[in-house]
Amino acid sequence: MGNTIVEFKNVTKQYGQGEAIQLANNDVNFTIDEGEFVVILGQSGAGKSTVLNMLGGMDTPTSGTITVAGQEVSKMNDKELSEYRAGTIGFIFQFYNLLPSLTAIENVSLVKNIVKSGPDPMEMLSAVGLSDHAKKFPSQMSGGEQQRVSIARALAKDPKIILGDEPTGALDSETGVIVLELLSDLSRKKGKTVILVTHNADIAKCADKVIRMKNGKIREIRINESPVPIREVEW
Amino acid sequence: MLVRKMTREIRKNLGQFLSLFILSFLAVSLFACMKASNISAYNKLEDLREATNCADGWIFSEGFSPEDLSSVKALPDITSAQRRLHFAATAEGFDQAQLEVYGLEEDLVSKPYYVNGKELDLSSKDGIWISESFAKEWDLKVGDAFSFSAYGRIVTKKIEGTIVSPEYQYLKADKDLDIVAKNIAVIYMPVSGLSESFSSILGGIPFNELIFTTNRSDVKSLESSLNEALHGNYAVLCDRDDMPGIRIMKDELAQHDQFAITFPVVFLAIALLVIMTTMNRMIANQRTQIGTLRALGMKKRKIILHYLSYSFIVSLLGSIVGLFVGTYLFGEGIAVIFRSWYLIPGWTVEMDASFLLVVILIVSCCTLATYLSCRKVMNVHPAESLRPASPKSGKAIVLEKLPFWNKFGFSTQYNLRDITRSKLRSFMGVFGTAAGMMIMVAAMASITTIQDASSWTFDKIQNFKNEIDFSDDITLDLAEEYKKEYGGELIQTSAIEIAKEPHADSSKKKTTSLMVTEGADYYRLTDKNRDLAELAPGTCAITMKLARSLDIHEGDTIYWHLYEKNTWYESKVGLINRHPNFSGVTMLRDDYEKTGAAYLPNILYTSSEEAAFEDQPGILAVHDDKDLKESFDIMMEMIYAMLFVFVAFATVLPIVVLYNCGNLSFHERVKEFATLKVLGFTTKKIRKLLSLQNLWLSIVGLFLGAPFGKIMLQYMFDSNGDSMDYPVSAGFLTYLVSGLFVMIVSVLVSYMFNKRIKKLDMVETLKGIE
Repeated sequence: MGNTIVEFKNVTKQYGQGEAIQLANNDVNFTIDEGEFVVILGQSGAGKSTVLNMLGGMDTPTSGTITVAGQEVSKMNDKELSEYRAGTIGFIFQFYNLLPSLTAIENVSLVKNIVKSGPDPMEMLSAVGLSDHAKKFPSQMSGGEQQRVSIARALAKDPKIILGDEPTGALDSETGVIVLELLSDLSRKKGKTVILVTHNADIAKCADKVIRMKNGKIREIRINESPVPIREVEW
Repeated sequence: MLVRKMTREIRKNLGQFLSLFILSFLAVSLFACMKASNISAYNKLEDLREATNCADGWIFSEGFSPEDLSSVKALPDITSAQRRLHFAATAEGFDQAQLEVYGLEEDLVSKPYYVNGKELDLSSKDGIWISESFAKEWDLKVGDAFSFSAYGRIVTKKIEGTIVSPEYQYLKADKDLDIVAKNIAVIYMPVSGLSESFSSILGGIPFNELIFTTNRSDVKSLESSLNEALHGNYAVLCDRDDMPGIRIMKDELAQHDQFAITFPVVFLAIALLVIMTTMNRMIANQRTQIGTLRALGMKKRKIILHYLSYSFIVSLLGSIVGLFVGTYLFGEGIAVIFRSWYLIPGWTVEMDASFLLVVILIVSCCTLATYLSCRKVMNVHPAESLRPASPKSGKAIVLEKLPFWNKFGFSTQYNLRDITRSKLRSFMGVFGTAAGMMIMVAAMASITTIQDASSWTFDKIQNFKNEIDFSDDITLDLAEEYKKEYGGELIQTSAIEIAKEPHADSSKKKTTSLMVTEGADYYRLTDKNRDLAELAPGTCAITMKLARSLDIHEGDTIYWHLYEKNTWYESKVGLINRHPNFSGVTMLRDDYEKTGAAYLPNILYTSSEEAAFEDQPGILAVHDDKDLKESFDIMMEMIYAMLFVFVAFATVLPIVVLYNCGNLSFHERVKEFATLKVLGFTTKKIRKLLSLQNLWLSIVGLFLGAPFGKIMLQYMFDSNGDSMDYPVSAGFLTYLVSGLFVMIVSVLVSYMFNKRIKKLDMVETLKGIE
């Protein structure tokens, strides 16, 4: 494994005020190395999505520092966060969030409006095996296909880190496997750092590192010495 | 509980519901404002006519005998009739005010309406009853002495009462260009009071008017029986529409009636678009809520009623506020202005059943629009509506077939597709800006049109410095003498009736004016294109609108007779001409004199600069070109006053509509914007994306609305009747200024979303909570 790319140091996130305070993250500390395939595991309400959102520059911590690729994300202003999201992060959502009025290729090309360099959108679409579907609109594709377009969109920015919030949550197991394979290949073959959030313990078996969360705190950080190949996982 | 849900949701969507409130308010208040003073005018006019037994018909001749009166009275359809003497007189003092004097032997028809003093006493030889409007201006009281001159005699009488004549809602002195109450009065007096002074001069009392009331609604249909009863011994039969004192007011009210329908319709149309788009979105967003309510066992009818109550309550509130503000504030404002021009006792503002109908119409249109929007969701099975709706299907649009489609940037492609997907919303944006642009162009063009008419009049038609108006006692010799002294061109204007055939009956002839010129280039004619034109000797000119209404073309022969004479003449039309304020026939003095009709000029146009014209015998008034230009200035002032209202509407409309468009578009695409934000799009980029669409819709609306501005203004000018011919002039600058104004409003509206995009919570939005 390489250098540390992500560092959470004493990160706390609270919502609400006074008596209604909710601690979504409570003194969270961890590091992630470059090129790692990491799974953040926990039940609903464990605070794993909050971690991902802060890491993705969509939310800011109440206290503590988040450092990504040498930049202190927790101190960034609105404009810097936009640049950070554009340049460093590729985000994959549970419900894909493709723009319904754009075709597959247009959804991927979309990011060229903010990131001029990086790979060719059509190549990325081919990389996820959808070159035949380039002209299709999201409503004309299956969930798995839509998620692959969303991965291609994330890749077209050539991000350092790919974040996935329950990326297989809305997919059947067969399609889920295809999507997960794509993501693990990004880490293993292309050297991207891939961080997934899920409540599915089976997926964790395939990861290099598993961060287990409960009630806003980290319960366990485990390094998987021998990750199981995706194809062998069943859920 | 549902009431609480409603009030909270109205508060949450305050922008849209406020728009709905404003639009229904505007629609109803505009209607009420134009209508409230009109209804009162009609009612009070009816009261006045009933109280005074106002005449339905007027017959003019050089004198009616008692036998004539009996024969007319004997006709089956005549309910009452009387003779009277009518002549023009001049007040002694009081700026030589113009007087319309009526000598009465009976007081049965068109009786005066009394304001002060006692009622008309036919035996009183010294009493006169005079216009209240005039008495008020000069502070004349009952009991004051009042002298006037007519036929070279001066008589002095005592004011016994102040009155309003049912025949003069519009009372303007001949010498004035606008209504000036202190320059004209109507006087009623017993004919016995006139006998001593005038019988010897006039050879008895010539009862030159016979007035009557009838059961028939079409007075002119009595023409043949009247003709028989009077043995053809009369010049002309008139109904109320022929009497300028009545007709001009009637035209004005009719114009208001028209505006009362046209303008509110525009606002109603926009209100409906706002409601439909707002409710469509709200109901689509609350799909799962509706599903939940139905799963809980709530009846479909109850849910529909709940959603109907949103637009019902808001539009009802807007309408009711509009009803009262429109009637008692705006309407009263209109009434105040018009009361100073037209004479109707007790004129104020009133409502009638039509107000309730308009409120019901607007509220039910709004509610119906909501019903149509929510019907769709109600037909979905509860289990299905509990699941989120399937994503809107994206599909290729026609524009994608264009060879350069791929050259478009992301924003362009994205917005073009979004527009085709949200047709109703886009239509609302276009329609609203088009309406704003239309109003703005009309407002700006009204300035250029008046300027254009002014330069048309003063640079082309009127080629003189002073207009000398002769009084009724002018002689041809004296007029010629003035012409010799000052130089210039003599003009005679007379009332005539014209037709395409001689001795035409009332339905085929039109009352209009004749202008006899000397062709000396002081008063010039302009053709259809408003270029200077010569009138060939032996032919006459007829104004374009009049020619059109009678289907007369160049080369046709027209037949005409002087209003008070029964001899018909024929003339060949050599020119169709145009004039902003004159409608009628123009001919050369030589040709007029050849007909054998008496020639007596009443105007001298001269270039002489000498100012000492007035106070000379036979001269009533002198207007220099500044005076004449002033009437355009007064019109200009009115336009400027109206401009304020117009610009206000032109601002409110695009703001309301574009804000709604932006709002809806924002809410519909909020998830997409959040996604873009996650991808790294900046606030500025997203705002541009959002405003680009509004900008396009505004530009399309701009071009669609622009031509209608001209059409609307022409319609407004034309609604003043055939006597005005103001071709609307709108130059490049008009469109440029209007367009810029609307675009600035559009751009400012897009900035209203800046904060919202900046504050957009990506995490919350993408969670997919309603």
